[in-house]
Amino acid sequence: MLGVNTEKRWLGAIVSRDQFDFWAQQLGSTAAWERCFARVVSRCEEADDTISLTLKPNANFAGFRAGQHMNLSAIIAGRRVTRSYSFTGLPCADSKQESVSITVRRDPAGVMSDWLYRHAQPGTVLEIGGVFGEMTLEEIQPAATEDLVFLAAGSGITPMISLIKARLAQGVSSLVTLLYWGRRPSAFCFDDELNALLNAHPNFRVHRLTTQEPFVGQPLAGRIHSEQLEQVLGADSSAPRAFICGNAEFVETARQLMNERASTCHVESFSPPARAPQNAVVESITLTLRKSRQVLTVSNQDTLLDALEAQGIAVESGCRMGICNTCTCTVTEGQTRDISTGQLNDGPATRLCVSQPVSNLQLDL
Amino acid sequence: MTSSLSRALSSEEVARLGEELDALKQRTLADVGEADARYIRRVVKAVRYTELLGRALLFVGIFPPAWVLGTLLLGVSKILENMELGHNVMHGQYDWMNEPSLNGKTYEWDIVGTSDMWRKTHNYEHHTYTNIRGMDNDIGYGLLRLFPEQRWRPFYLLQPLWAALLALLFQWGVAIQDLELGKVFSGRKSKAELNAQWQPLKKKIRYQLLKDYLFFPLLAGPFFLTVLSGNLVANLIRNLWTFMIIFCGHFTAKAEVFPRSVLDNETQGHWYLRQLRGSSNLRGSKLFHILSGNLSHQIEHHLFPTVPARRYRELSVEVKAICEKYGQHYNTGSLLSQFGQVVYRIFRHALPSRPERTTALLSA
Ligand SMILES: Cc1cc2nc3c(=O)[nH]c(=O)nc-3n(C[C@H](O)[C@H](O)[C@H](O)COP(=O)(O)OP(=O)(O)OC[C@H]3O[C@@H](n4cnc5c(N)ncnc54)[C@H](O)[C@@H]3O)c2cc1C
Ligand code: FES
Repeated sequence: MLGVNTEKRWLGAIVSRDQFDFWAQQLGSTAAWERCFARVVSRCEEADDTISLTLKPNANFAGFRAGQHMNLSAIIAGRRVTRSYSFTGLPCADSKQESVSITVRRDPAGVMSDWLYRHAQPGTVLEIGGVFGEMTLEEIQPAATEDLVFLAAGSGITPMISLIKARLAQGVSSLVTLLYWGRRPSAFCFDDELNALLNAHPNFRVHRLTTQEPFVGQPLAGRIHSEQLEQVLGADSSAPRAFICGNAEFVETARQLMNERASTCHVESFSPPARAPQNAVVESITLTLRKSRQVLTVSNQDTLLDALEAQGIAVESGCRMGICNTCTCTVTEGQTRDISTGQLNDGPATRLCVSQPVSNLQLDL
Repeated sequence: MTSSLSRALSSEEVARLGEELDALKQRTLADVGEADARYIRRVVKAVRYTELLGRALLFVGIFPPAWVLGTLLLGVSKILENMELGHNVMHGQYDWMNEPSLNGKTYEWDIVGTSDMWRKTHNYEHHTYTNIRGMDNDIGYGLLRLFPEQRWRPFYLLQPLWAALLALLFQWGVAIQDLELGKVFSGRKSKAELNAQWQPLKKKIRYQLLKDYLFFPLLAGPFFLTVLSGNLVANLIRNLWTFMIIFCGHFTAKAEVFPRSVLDNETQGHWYLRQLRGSSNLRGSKLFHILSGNLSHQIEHHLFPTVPARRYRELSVEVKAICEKYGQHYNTGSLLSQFGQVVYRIFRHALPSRPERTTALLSA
């Protein structure tokens, strides 16, 4: 470590951070002064409209925990676009050797997932921003005797597969159950990995549930409902700890259904929650940017992030749904509402992507 | 000097002028995208490769042709970096790319002044209060009397000399502009305030000086002096060039200055009008425009400082048409003629002079 820092000090006397990154890139390397670039080393078709990518990050990667996700950026039509993707593998003991896997479900109308699906190939260079997420075993610390049940819908499987691997690797004998909903048989990811885990761990159970086309010779399982859960979990002796991940609608239903069965529910949603009551009266808001000394007029119906971007002001963002804190900014004057809860924000630190102005505002931008 | 070639506008006309320019800006911004990103990345590439080549040639600068070519290339690299890259990026013209290395709020340029100070004196003060006496320090940089409206003092008698020194040391002028040393000497600014500003500046100056005058020369071993002299001359070339381009932007014969009172109830339309009347353009080839950081389109730059500068050329056609429609003079000319006018101003207003009547922005 010391070596690297001293080298950087000397090198820093004649080249700037940006010059270093530029020449590294010209030489075909992902090395960088501080930023974490990652090269795609492999790609495979995982399921319908879904690919898995393995990335090799540069030495600036600080590692992750099973269940976490990262801000991933790609340059699309000249713009650096950032979205969240979950790590699907297990962290490696030596972070220098680390390669990380993600699985991306394509939304043909989406910017990033469609681009990755069509253009990410071995050799493509992406950038990893922050790593986030509290849905980890380290954070939650489930007891060894506690049964865990994972409920995943569609691409919500991604953090689950990683958590399941991590839990099974702990060598516990308590039950680990995965309930996994997908549209049709070809939509399910990680067949080989899940089968290998089933063979290796007798305490692991998987239920694949179809919602549009059934597996051959089986009935359609249908969207999540109470009897399904009763069939799978009814015989278990103790209330399990539940992990739920998928789109907002699935997460909401699953949480309600599991509330009576589970001891605790941990949830993660991949899409913004249904927007809570907006400001009832449409108003123009004067938005002052303190540092850049600009004054803008915005509507109180837009999130601050959307409003700023619409005026050509770039703000760092990641998940755009209030999860990653990337867009957080200090409100120095005025009142905002968090649209995911409908409540007024009380502190000055405000996530712009889920906040709408209520009064005239001053931001520390 | 001369009375304005533009006519005074009614409030309604000013409002419509503002709307037309706003619409033009929105149309252009809506079209900004991949081509602009590709362009600025090419500029970065040109800056880096000319610098590498220039520095490499200076290492063998013991052969005079290599020294000359190396120095020129390094000078061009610094000019491109300061003007087409740094200046424009710091205006936030490429912020929409979300690229950290091209972020207007964090970009640091290859010049002794800090980017943070520049963002304040230039982006904020100069662009907001363009050519307003007492508010836009760029009018003569506190050193020169360029307009008869500025009060004459005997100090200005020697201003051709001051101007020459400022041109040679232009990067230092830019660096210390915000320290407002005049205010410190006259006691209107505290030592503590000065010190707070001096600390980051000191760091930047040390970095720049060590890089160009110690570390790179040391890397050349026995050719220490050839590299050092090349770097010195390259910095000098950049200073002279930027001085010339920037002075042509606001101090040509027809450029106007304004009293503080223009700010009373100034509308967006007024602001546009003031930018237009206070700025002047330079004609030239495409390469010339690029090397001037497109500040050869000073008028368009002042109207639309956040629009990527490579767009100014196409914007100028419509801006000119709007000027004609509203009877406003579109101040442009060759470098020779515009700089000639600047030099004339420097000599003329070294001596006492009295303002002529100019056309007001607004008709009564
Ligand atoms: C914590 C977290 C972890 C995640 N992990 C994964 C993962 O492992 N794998 C995975 O595949 N995904 C994951 N996601 C989802 C992922 O981050 C992206 O949201 C997803 O890939 C879609 O991004 P996109 O750029 O393709 O779509 P976007 O361009 O963001 O658009 C998404 C959808 O919204 C619609 N839309 C966009 N703008 C508007 C508008 N103004 N008005 C109306 N509709 C609009 C689009 O048509 C599209 O259907 C995760 C998300 C989060 C928050
Ligand atoms: S962008 Fe992630 S919290 Fe706002």
